[in-house]
Amino acid sequence: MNGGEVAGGGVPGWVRVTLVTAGLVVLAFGAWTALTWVPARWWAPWALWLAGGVAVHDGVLAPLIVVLGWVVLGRVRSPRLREVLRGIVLVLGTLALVALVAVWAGAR
Amino acid sequence: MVSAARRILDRVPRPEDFTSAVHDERVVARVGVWFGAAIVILFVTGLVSHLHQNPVWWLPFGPEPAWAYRVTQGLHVAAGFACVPLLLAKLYAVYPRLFVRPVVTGWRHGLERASVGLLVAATVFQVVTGVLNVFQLYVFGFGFTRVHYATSWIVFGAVLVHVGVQLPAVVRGLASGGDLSGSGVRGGHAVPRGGTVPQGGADDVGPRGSDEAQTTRRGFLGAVAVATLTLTALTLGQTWRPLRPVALLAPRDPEAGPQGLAVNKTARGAGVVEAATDPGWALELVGPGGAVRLSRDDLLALDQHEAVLPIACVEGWSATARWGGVRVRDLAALAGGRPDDPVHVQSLQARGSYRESDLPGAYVAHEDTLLALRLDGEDLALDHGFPARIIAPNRPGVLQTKWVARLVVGGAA
Ligand code: HEM
Repeated sequence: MNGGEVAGGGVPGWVRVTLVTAGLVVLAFGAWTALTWVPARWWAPWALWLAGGVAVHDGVLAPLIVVLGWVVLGRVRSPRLREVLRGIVLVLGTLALVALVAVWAGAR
Repeated sequence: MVSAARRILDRVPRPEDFTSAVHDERVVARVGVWFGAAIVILFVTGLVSHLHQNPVWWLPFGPEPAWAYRVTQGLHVAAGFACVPLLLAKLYAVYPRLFVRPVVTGWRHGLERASVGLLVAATVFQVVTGVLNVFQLYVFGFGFTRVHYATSWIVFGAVLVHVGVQLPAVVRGLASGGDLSGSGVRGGHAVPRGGTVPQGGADDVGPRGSDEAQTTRRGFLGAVAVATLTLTALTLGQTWRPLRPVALLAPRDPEAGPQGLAVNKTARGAGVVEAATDPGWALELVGPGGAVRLSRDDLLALDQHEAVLPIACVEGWSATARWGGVRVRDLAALAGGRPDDPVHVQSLQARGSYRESDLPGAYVAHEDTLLALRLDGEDLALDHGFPARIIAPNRPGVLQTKWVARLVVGGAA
């Protein structure tokens, strides 16, 4: 391990090497836990939810927000109004997501 | 084939197409620090919950302070809710990096991207299933607790790797312009930036280096903070009484239930209605001195004690109540054991992961650890564990075993 920098930022290289190494050790423990603590019949639905979450976020939710910003914010001239609109979408969007889950739970 | 694939790839946006000033290293670094703090809180408080349910000899928990689990698990679920806006904001800020070209430049870059993929998958998974779970939407096809536990190690490991890889960018992002102004370094996610940044268009307008861009970044960070605090305020009431009137999005009202106290598992759900209402019910008390059977009247004739204790559900809600019953240490003594012998508790429940629990010796010895018969001065409601349940300080709700059938003192068979 060298005491110098790995790719700058003023961060000593050993700090980064330690973090990455520790992370890999923790990940290895996670893999071992997955194999020994989680019953094999749950692996498939687990993998499905892992992949599904990313797919739904990257493929549906994020593009939707980007397009919304493009369509709506792109037409608003006033920068102030734009920030206010963005804030409203962000705050109400978050609350709406949780509210949706609450409604789903209430309907069951 | 190849040219068709190329044509599709040409249609996919490139990082430079996302021109909003939000996609900026300084925004990414700040949201990252907030999200990272939440993950550390989640990991530590989660481990506390795990170790309560899966004790290890080298880090035993005791019954004091009585409110500890209520606080750690309340914090866990609160930090979990806070992750909804934090995670969304973080992912939005770095979304352009998903489209870097070339897709992979070498094995190192490939590994880096894979680790980010794992990080995103694991955190999204943890937040989505965590929130569904606290709303009792058990729709996963797997048992929540074990998978959540394994995933938490993956989240934590992937975060450490990620921070190690990105540390220079984080330092840069936090150092450059506490004012968030200037053109700054953008994206910066381990991949060298390609080309110049076009101005205007795509998902936002306005030049990146202007005051306007600064306003955009400020506004975004402010909105993330407001979203996080609002969501916290609207959910925390399930464990913190002063916020109960505004707990509009809280999964549970801790005071909605029989005798003014919420119930997770009903007697019907546990399949114990018949056994628990059988007038012939008697507690089987087994210890070094042999086995005795005690009817509810027998138990009520023993020394009664009252304790004001929280019931703190693993799912984050909690409420305080006044419990009355027999001290478990008195029962241990009655069975010929010592007042600090560990006690194994068995419920009338025939199935279910929480039909049994163990009271470590330190818990048995505590004066507030009860085999409760009464709640707020009335007989225990059936859904609260009638005829008798365990209640002890600093203990997850799932271990406060209801409808007790049998107590085994000091490892006696
Ligand atoms: C994102 C990072 C997260 C990490 C690292 C994490 C970690 C943990 C750990 C280690 C446990 C203990 C599991 C066990 O007892 O074996 C736990 C339990 C729990 N977590 Fe999380 N968690 C995270 C996010 C969330 C979120 C977002 C929620 C929901 C809002 C949540 C809700 C819960 C609940 C309800 C439990 C109790 C489960 C039970 O005992 O049945 N967690 N968490």
